[in-house]
Amino acid sequence: MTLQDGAGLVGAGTTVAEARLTGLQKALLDYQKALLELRKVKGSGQTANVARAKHAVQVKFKLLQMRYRAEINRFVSPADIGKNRGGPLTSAERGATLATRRRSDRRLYVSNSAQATKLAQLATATRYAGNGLIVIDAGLRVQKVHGTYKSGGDWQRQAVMETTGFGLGGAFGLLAGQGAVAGLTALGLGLTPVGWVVMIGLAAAVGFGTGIVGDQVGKNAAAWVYGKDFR
Amino acid sequence: MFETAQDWFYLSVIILFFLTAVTWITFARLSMARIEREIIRDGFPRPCPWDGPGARTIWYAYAISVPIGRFNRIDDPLIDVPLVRKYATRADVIRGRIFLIIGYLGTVVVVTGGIMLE
Repeated sequence: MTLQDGAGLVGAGTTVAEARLTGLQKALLDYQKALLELRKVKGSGQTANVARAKHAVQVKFKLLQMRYRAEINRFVSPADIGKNRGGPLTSAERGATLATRRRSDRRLYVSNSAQATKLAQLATATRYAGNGLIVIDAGLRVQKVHGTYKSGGDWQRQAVMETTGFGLGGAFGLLAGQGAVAGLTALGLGLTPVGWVVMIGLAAAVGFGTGIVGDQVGKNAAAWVYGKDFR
Repeated sequence: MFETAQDWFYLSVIILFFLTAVTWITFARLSMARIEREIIRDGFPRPCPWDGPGARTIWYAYAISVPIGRFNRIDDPLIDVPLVRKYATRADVIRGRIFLIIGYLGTVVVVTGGIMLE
């Protein structure tokens, strides 16, 4: 495996990992919004609105727990599970209790907690890693063309081959990666945290494999067109 | 001019790559960009906030043009499927389907041909 291949693999993996992290942030923010809405309507005293807001809190928490159980367990102390204590991430009921208290509680801002901030920083880092590795791939290809130019070879042919390989490998690699995610999700693999990890690995591997084959086919197809006399 | 199987393979790869690029860009510019603009205008968050270089085009095409079910889950954590579908028109569905069909046809041809003929 070359450095260029490694860049593609890490890029594919970080993209999926980052998608999961930003999804968690969005889910935390949705839950926080529901809690703050409940706090607001509780003050108005309208029973129907309070019931509706409580239901929204339950729905958002259920969604959070269903998709991100592994991450949520990092936020919650095991001693608090099943009890009416701790922060709003312990349970929807705990969240509703804190939201309807007379005194304002900082813990309602679940997306601002120290752990959530750490996760946000990790998401930003992986985004830079994913995009940065694409730049590394492009840079390595430019270097190859420059090497051909320096050694007196046909650098224009090399440039056409590298550009086609980059585009073809990238496009079909991404399509194959998403196809793998859709197929594995249909099989129910993404429903558990461990399944998610396996799915990230498999989808990255499928995308990476297709990207390598696509890169080679693209280079050869470009060389074929370049050397062909179509007259 | 096209004597061997490899000649025909490279010709099909180039045609399919070109068609994939055209349908990809058409869907991204005419459907995805408009949907994102309208969603942001209405005050909703971006339905696919994780993407940088443009991979989300494929997720949008799936969300819009594949029927809801096992292959297009309503609770997909990578994209807000119900929100995107709400803004999609019949033309977006058709553009998405054409893009996915040509894209996956290209992927199958490249992978099988690449393994068998290269």
